[in-house]
Amino acid sequence: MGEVHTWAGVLFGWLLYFMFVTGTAGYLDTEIDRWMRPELPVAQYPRPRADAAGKALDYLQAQAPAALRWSIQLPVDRNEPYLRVGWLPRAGGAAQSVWLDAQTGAPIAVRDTAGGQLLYQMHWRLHYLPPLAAEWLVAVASMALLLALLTGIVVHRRFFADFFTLRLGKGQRSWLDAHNLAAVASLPFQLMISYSGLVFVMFSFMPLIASAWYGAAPGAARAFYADLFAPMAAAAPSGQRAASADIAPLLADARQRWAGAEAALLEIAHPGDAQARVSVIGNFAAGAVRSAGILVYDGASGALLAERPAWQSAPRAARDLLLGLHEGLFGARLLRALYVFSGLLGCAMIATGMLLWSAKRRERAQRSPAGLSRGQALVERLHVAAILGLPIAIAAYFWANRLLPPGMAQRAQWELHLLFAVWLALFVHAALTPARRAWRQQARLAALAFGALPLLNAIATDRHLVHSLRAGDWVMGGFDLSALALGLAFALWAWRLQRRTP
Amino acid sequence: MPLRFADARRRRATAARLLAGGLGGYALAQLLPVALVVPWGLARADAVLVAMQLSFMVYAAALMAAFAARSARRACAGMALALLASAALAWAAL
Amino acid sequence: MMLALAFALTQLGLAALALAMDRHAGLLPRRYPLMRRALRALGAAALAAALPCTLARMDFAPALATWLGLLAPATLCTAAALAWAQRPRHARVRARSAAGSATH
Repeated sequence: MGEVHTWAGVLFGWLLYFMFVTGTAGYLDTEIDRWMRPELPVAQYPRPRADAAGKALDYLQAQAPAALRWSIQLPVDRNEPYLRVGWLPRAGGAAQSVWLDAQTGAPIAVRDTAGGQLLYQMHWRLHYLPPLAAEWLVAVASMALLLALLTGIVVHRRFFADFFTLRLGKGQRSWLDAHNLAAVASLPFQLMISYSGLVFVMFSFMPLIASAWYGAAPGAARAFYADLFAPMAAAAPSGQRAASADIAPLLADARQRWAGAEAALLEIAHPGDAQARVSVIGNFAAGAVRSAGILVYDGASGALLAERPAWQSAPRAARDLLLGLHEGLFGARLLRALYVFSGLLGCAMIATGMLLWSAKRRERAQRSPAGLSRGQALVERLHVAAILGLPIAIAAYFWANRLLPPGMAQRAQWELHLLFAVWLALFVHAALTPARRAWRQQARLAALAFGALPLLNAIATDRHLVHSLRAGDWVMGGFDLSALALGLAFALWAWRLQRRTP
Repeated sequence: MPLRFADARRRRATAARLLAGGLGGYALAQLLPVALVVPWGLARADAVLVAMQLSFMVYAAALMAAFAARSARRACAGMALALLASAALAWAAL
Repeated sequence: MMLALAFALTQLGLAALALAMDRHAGLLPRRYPLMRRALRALGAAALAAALPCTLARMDFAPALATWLGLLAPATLCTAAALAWAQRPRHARVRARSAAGSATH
């Protein structure tokens, strides 16, 4: 059983660490998004829905009257604080997205960046990999995580006696205590996160189960999805122009049907057509169960065509609950802080696990006549870049966001290329440097990369820390303060590493 | 010489457990939940959802059982038995 | 306020349960046989009492998640405090003898 734990950890440790770091950063994606788009004003939410929707529709009518689809994200809560419109051009090409000022309806010129959203998406899509490959890799890694947790509990010989044990300065035993403590302290979270993560990928990970009920013919999967996410009153465009119905009565009707709950998202298919459809969608992030009502109205007459309530069946609600718990969007400030804290403990759990394994192998190798093999020595060195290098690379992503010229082509892609280029460089540095020195140097670099972010922010924009604190802009200010705190933490780590070397 | 032989045997045993638990467990994870859920008479999509959400528990339990078994032979035999039983149940139920 | 109380109860509860354990019993002032049992009961009660505190402020699912989540920082604080309190004896003996020699 211990073998399973070790192998699951060794094979997937670095990937799981990447998923935990991007997952924890991605949990704060809205806040990171805001910092990476300093042009956006301080968000004020929630706003009266009909007013915001009206302004959005005016803009879309002027900018993209012939689009295939419009989407309007209303400013509703911490998770979606801005009025944002999008459209799919009729001529083809990527979907367009614009932020609107919720008070005036005017577009806000924002720099081209993938923001914190991309850190969140990398959590399951990775990067530079074909989507199917990434999905399978992440699915197998998630299963390995679940196995590592369960086998870890089983092989932890003195689970209760060692619950609070932390022996510092004792080499391998200290790594073991740290690994155990990080895992045990956040165990409910880790079990929830790993199981719910698997539920996210279960359609492709366990396809034969769908086949048991839907058959194995080529169209079976589509039949399953059609049952699950039934199309609502879909219709092809008729080609005839028709006046669009007013949005305010539709929103009022939705509010009345949902016992006071407000709409969060509007999607209009074939705007301006006689067969236009207006989908009014509730707030999926309102509660722990990630579900909300959807109402589809006729775009021309305003009549209700189809309705999908938030609750459809217990199995669906169970899945929605697991997905909602994983995303954790429903939490107030304390719960959010606890999610971030537990996520960081998960990162620590994996990092200490890998370092413990390396320490054990080093000890075993030093006792044998052959000594440490070249491969083992290299892995020990590369741990530095895998563990410290990733946060530094993410900091580099933030630096790139402030430093790259705004008008640059493919700017968002280049910010990401820089993230990975820096990470690669750190791997090279780690491979060429003795492990102890590499840890010290990269820890110092991490301290600098994060600690200097507020300074960079002050130089590159006018939304610096003092301004944020004075204006009560806790998102911008919070990010700067967190960067300072992280810089300080890395600096402390670097100082302790300094003291330990003779 | 005897040491190397014991090593190879251990490696073969571990590989056998891995195949039984990893591959056999994957198959079991898609058979047993189906066998368990079909009798509940749920709507198709709902039944699939329940079975899928249960499958990971089965997979984890199967893989851990394969390594907790007293010998690799028992692990393989146990997995084969479980697979046959689940397949029979599932086939009878569907 | 309620949430701060929930955290305080969780922290005190875990600390009490920790002190009631064999390994950390050396930190207790005197070896009363009933003290450990009392600590265990009070600790469990405190942990349980933290849940209604969270329920007072939020719906069931977020309250349960918060209650379980509070265990993480509380466990770490308890472990850190115990590690500091049980730090190597010779450091304390040295300090005591240094204080003793200073008075001579």
